[in-house]
Amino acid sequence: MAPWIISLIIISIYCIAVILIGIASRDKGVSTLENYYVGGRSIGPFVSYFTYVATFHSSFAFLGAAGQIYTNGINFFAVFTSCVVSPLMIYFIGRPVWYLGKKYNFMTQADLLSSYYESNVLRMIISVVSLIFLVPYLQSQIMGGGIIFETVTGGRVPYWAGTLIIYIVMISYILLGGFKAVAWTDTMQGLMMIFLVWIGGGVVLGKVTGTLDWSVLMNRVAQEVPEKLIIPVEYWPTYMTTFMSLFGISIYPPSFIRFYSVKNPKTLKWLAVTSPIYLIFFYVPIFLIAFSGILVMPGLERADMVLPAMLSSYAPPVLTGLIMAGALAATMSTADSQLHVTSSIFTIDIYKPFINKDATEERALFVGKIAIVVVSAIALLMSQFTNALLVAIVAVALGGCLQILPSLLGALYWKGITKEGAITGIIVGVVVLCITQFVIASPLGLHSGVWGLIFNVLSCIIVSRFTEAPSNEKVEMFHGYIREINEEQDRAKYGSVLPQTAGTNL
Amino acid sequence: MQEQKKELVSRKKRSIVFTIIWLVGFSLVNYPIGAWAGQKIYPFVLGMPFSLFYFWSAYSLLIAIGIIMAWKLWRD
Repeated sequence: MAPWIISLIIISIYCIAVILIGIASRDKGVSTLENYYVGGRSIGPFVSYFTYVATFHSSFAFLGAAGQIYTNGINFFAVFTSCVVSPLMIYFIGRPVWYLGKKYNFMTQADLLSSYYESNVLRMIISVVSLIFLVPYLQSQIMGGGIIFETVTGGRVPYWAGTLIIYIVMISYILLGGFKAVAWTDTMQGLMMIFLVWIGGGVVLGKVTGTLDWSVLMNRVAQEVPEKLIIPVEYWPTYMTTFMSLFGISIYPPSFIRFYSVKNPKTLKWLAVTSPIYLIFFYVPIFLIAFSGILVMPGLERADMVLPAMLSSYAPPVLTGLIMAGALAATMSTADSQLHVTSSIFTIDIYKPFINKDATEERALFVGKIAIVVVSAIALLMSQFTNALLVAIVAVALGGCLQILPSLLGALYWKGITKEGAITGIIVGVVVLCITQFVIASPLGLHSGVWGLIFNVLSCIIVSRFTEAPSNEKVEMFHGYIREINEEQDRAKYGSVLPQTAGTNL
Repeated sequence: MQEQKKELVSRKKRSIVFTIIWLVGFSLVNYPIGAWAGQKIYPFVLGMPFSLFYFWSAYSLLIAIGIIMAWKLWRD
């Protein structure tokens, strides 16, 4: 049997499996918005872990990462800082968000922030900013899926058909099971990704060097291309700020909605510190494959094709098919979360407060499902055209979502931020982000997201100084409640609390 | 009561100590220490060039510090 047929069969089995998971995870009774969008706040630690890491690692982890190591060697370690630092936000932001979400039934970022700042304008701004950055991102993931299909089958399944298959499979299981389907398919996808990439790395290493002892490969790299094993001094400004540009990944809407979904905050605490284990050790075999590629396939025209090219040359067709199904899983596990959260933003932040205030849960849910079909169809259509504007939006998507951070800190930690300060900060942040990305590209070598955040914080603080603080009632509802929780926990542990330590979230 | 207050004060001290330890770990993967290690291919350690071994170890250490912080310090 031809290798492409074997790969196609494996990918087909994978697609059927995720649809079956969608069927199995659907609500047996009447579905509610809470069940559909945040899994009824009942997701356990195992599924939470894999849904987070699988959403974090997109197809970039397979294709883009291998390409970057192939081109720039160990400069790639810069990404690791983000893998370790960004998840800390799961605790520092996620923990208070979980408590507030549970008490006041919040399900999105804008839901929480518009309640604290008592502003529907802020709700609309956050929703629009989120959608602007999410939809092109979703489209880029669908494009990734189409490329994988085309590559695996040698063009026999054309790009457009690949994107269409992704679209149908993805909306099938999201419509059926909502967040639970997304989380469970992510779990399957996350497990598949890590096992298969490690097997693939081992097979390629064994075939290229004749042994599983990596020192043989490393010695050859050190002798033939030593520059791939050092980080040039002039790269350090970029190295040290890369993590800041990726900082937004743990609070961008698909990650944020996971804060609400877990069964208890203990899950978030351990997720914050243990998810980096998966995130960075995922790259061990990627390093091995990319370094092998440097030796045996130098000068590839498209560096991000090094992984499929190495697998096609050195791994058996079944394994190649499995690993490409893993790459597809990485794409889909990111795209499904984006699509699902886009629907939640539309339903909870736009439809219910602005279009139909009296909508029943059933009606709102129906509209949310329609939004899934329509938004993904738009992303599918957009994926058929290469548009420079869309590519540019994807490049600043995480930086764009990061601009919500100061207003979040205001609602969770620092009472000094006002409604006007939060609105000004987000607008200024997004404008500066666009200027430093498209007009004066990355001044001083700093990422546009970082520039946006600096100006965002400054304008937020300045405007907040001259405008009216949030109402005492809201401050008590948010800050007071979190302080109460902290004091209660301290009392249970130590029997008493000291005023100066009670408010800290550590 | 005195004992309990002491516990809380020591908790605050522990927060400061752990934060400093984490920052030291973080500095290992940044300039200038990281830049020094990022220039050294030799000696090989565990079959890896020094730079590779160093960054894998330093990031693993940073993860381990985070886990200890969560275990010993964080609420919930």
